[in-house]
Amino acid sequence: MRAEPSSTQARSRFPRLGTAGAVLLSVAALLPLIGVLVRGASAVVSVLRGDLDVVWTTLWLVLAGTALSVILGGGLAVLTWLARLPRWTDALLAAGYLVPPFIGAAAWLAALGPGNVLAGRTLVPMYSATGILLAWTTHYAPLAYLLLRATLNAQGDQPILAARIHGLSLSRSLWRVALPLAARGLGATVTLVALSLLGNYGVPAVLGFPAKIYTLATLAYARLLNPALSDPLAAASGVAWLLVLLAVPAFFRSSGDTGEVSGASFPLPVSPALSRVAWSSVWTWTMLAVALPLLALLLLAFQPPYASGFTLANFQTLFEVDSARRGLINSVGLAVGTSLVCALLGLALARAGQGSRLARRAVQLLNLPYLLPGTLLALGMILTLGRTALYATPLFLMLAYLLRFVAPGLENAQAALTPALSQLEFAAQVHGVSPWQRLWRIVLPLLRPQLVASFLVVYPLVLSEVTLSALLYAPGSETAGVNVLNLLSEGNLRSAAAMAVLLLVLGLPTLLVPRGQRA
Amino acid sequence: MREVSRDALQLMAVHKRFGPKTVLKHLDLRVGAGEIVAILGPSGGGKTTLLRLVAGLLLPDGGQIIIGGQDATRLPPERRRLGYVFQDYALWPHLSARQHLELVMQGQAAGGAGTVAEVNALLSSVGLLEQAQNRPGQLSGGQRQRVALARALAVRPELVLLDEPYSALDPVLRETLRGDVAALLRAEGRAALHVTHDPDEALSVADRLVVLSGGELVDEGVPERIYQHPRNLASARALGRLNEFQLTSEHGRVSLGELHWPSPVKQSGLTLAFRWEETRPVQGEEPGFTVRLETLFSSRGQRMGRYRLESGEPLLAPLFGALQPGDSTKLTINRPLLF
Repeated sequence: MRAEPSSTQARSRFPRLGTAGAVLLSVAALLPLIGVLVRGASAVVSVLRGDLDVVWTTLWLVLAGTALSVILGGGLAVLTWLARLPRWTDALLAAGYLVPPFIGAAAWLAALGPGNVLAGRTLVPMYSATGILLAWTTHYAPLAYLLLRATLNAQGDQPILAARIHGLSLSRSLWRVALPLAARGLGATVTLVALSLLGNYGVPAVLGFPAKIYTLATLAYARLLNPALSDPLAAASGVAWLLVLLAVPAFFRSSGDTGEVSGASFPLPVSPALSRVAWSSVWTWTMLAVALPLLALLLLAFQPPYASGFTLANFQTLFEVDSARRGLINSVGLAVGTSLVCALLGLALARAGQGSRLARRAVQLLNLPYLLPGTLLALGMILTLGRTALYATPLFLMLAYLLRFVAPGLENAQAALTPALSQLEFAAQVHGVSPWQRLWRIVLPLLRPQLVASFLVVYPLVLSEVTLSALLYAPGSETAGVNVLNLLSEGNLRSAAAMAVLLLVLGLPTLLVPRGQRA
Repeated sequence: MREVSRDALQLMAVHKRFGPKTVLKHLDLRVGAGEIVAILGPSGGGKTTLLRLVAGLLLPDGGQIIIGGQDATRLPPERRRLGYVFQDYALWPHLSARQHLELVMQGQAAGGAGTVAEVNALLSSVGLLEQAQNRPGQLSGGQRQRVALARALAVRPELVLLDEPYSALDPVLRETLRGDVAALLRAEGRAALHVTHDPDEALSVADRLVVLSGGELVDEGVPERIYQHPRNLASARALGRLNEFQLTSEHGRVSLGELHWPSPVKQSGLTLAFRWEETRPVQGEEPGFTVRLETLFSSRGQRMGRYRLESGEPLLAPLFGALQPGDSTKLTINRPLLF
């Protein structure tokens, strides 16, 4: 039997260093979270008594948003999968997910809200639960689509094909074979969408605050900034406790393992009727959920105040304001820096995880700051580092971003560290190549595409981050996302639209991410 | 649907193109009720396309497909009453063996849901009654294959399509199963279209062989006839390794050493083909051709030799007597095939 080189063999000199680094980083990530839970424990009961309505509002909004996103995104995934639409339609359907949620909310305001560019009068009451659900659904249905489409693609054609050949109708094949096989992916999709909605701050901040509709994410923010409270940090931590309680069930969902499915197959012929329905659904979604709000946002950004026509004045005004300029520079700088560190750190941690069980466990814990609502991490950062010189500096924000977004970089690196790569590294090792040379000459060149992909995955997330930024920024360390929120809360819709357009343009590099690697 | 014939399958001038390439050329083929027909042929010969057309996974560009006497040319797969045993089984990983059968029996409009007794009988016939509650992941390769067959039979099909069904199994299990499956198909009275590129498999299970090459039916008949008297070189090649020599026609005949055969006047040459088991040493003054033994090897317990003719061409034949590499001997051919 051929001896398989193990990754442990290939990296035997550095396991302790890697493990120590992984453990240290996971402790750094967990400390703030634990800090919030400790600080907020005493405030939970009072929050429950005083803000039970917010808990219910959050719960039903999250449930409704998840249901709408999964039904619409999942429906589109099943339809396009059955109709075998070309892969480029993924780009149309996923486009909504590339628009940050708070910018999506601003775009819907521009399209349907008060003073919109299309009709001039309110078409849909956007400052409402309906508005929040609309913005959430158009952002997170594409996420559900991407996840479920990937699950269905992985299932291959054979299961449904075998069902059809043995006499089952299309609907029965779908119901009894394809969907049960996709149950695991469906469960993961529901969990991820629900957690994302629970932790989302931007949309309820833009569309909820003006109507005094709070979710737990925005309530924590409101409590922290409430000067009337004796201990606002404890009150906000109490709210964060509830966020964790609502998030916990998601972590205990059953994996529902259905075993191995063969992907090798050939497709069934697609009926013209199914094809027509699938194409119309794709174009209807693209026009209504993506093109309409984005077009409205663009029109608003280039529209002169109190007049029709075209102007660059909204952008000029923006650049005349110090905080706006600073915000853009900070956001781009933080996005580039954090993405770079996340890509490299992710690779180092993934390699450490291959070499030691302890490191593997530590690395798994780093998913928590990414999956749990960002409010929790932000409050924890204030609690643990709020009294240090780091507080209120861009570096403080970068540390928070790093802890939150190292997980996608890590996931990318873990996928890239294949047995084949270990074998190539092992081949260098047995031929006497030094560890640093192996890293520099073998591993890094081979992993360059994955490192670039990691960078491009993290970059837009940081560029448009608002949940951490809104709680952690200080004068001098503003970000572009926070500026958009501030401009919207001031009622300066045109400048907010201009800033949002700039953010979208700066986020375009994410389109270069190889297919299937977008977080 | 129009009633045409009671054969299990009838293809009439079925034609299929992929872009500029024609993969099936006006193919006529029939599978009688209860008959097992094996389709043999080289890769790219059209076997897989034929199976997909019959299953309804592809639509023909021309011709007609009749299944169980009904025109199924444009019918969707689920309305063709077919059983299909896939190369890698295509079992549903979330369902037990029993649930596989129940699900497809429920899907049958005519028969309705299979009773427990019917399901048990089918499971019993494939020897899986004790593993009925197991999912595919809990079954061995051979057991999975049996579930796939039971599922195909559960449809009460007009025709069972078998797509190289034993290729994922080890050789011993393959030989055992192919005998069992053929016996079960015959016991159930089911017709089958069995695609394979393994001549042994085709010869051992089929009532009739069909050889496809270049999208055309080049030969068909009972296995023994095709093996011993193939109509053409493609058919001969489909049934196993051949020794082949291009012979030039001189004075109306072609020759190999002292062996001569008449050649059609208009042809400049012929291909002489024969299987290794059709060679033997000459006896007495019998005419033959001289070969030199180069190397020895074993195949399925038979000592074999790689020989070379005086003209330098290689030849495969059994090892005769106590020949050693480098020795020469004279051989003759029992049943030469000339094309």
